[in-house]
Amino acid sequence: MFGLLRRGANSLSDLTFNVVYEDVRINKERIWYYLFRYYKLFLIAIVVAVTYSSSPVIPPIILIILHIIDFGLIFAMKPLGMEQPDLVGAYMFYPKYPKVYHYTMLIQQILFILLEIFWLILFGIRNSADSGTYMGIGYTICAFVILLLLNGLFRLIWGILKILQYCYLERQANYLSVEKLALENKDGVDDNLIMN
Amino acid sequence: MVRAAAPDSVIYPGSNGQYHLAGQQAVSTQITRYVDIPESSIGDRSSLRNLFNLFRGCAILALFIGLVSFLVGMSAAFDDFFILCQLIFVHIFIQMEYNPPSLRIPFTGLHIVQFLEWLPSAARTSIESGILPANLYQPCSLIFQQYYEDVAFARTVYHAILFIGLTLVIWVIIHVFLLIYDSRHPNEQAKYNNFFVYYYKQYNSKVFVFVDKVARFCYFTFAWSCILQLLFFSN
Repeated sequence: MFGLLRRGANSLSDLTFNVVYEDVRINKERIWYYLFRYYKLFLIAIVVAVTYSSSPVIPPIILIILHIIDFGLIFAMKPLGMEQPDLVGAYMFYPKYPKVYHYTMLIQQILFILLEIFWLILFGIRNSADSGTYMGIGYTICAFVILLLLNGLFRLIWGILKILQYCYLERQANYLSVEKLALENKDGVDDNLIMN
Repeated sequence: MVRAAAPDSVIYPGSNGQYHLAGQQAVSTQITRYVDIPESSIGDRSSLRNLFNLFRGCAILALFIGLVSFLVGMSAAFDDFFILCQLIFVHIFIQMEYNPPSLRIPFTGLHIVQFLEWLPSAARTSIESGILPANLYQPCSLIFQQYYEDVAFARTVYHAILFIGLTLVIWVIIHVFLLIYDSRHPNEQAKYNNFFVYYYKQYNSKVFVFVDKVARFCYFTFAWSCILQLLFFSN
């Protein structure tokens, strides 16, 4: 256990954001976003848990502000613009993953903002609307949830295909480089033999 | 088999205008809007059922396939989706007593992501009987008993702790397996011959990334459990 932690600590100091940043899906120039996305989750948990029974307006408004800030950060600072090493033969899924990740995260923030606006509408009409309308707003929120899930599923499937493509092509490239090295060594030996 | 959603969450009208949950203490708060909607307004039950099934399917994909993804090194693709499901689900707690059935019933489908409920019902019962006194329920707001028994800390985090333990065991097993493979195939080229060996070498060698993936998968569960604990803990 200690060995594992020590090794992890070594990775943290030497390699973390210089070598493996693409694996935590963060631009190496925007390391602060790595912490921000954890803080954001923590803030959402606090806001929902602490204000669940307060005014129905407060929690959605705070969440909207949080999502607007996140949208602005992603849009302006491009913290998710991870750099990936070039891979020979890669097309579509691997090279375009950073863009897909960037845009689907932006869409996710917009959909969350819309979802929370409809949550506000729900509370706004709760004393005046008839039951059918009230139920209808609930269905509308469910529609936004479906859009959010579809957006997430799209990113998930793209991510799976990207990992598969990366593993296949990198293994192939490494295999070919080892083969080439072996052939070069063999040629070198043969040349030496001829010279002798 | 997954434990049924919110076994004690059925609301019964009691005497004096009070409402209570099956098997739980009476509450003095009236659940106004939800109860005010007459049953005739919930005519379109198939839509509610379909939405519930859709959300349940997404929750199963996010949780169970997400857990399996750690075995095959695909967790980077799944953790975002799992966190997304958790974030969507906790929205239901915002003024929940006023939310219409068209929200509360479909959202029930997502409830398994709240505390990473990945163990089957029988295992959960036996573990809970081991870590918690019999019939212990932590007093908390009614709304937090709608989709889970209560907010007792041990009950809310043991799924995540077991999951972390399991991933550590898996990591060590893979590591030992790779060490054995290396000792039996000392030449460098051998790792490219076997797809799985190469794949796990890549996956296993990045310790920080692996820890980050596990932490990200469990982070919201711990954050949510701790905050609920701070709200309702009483001696």
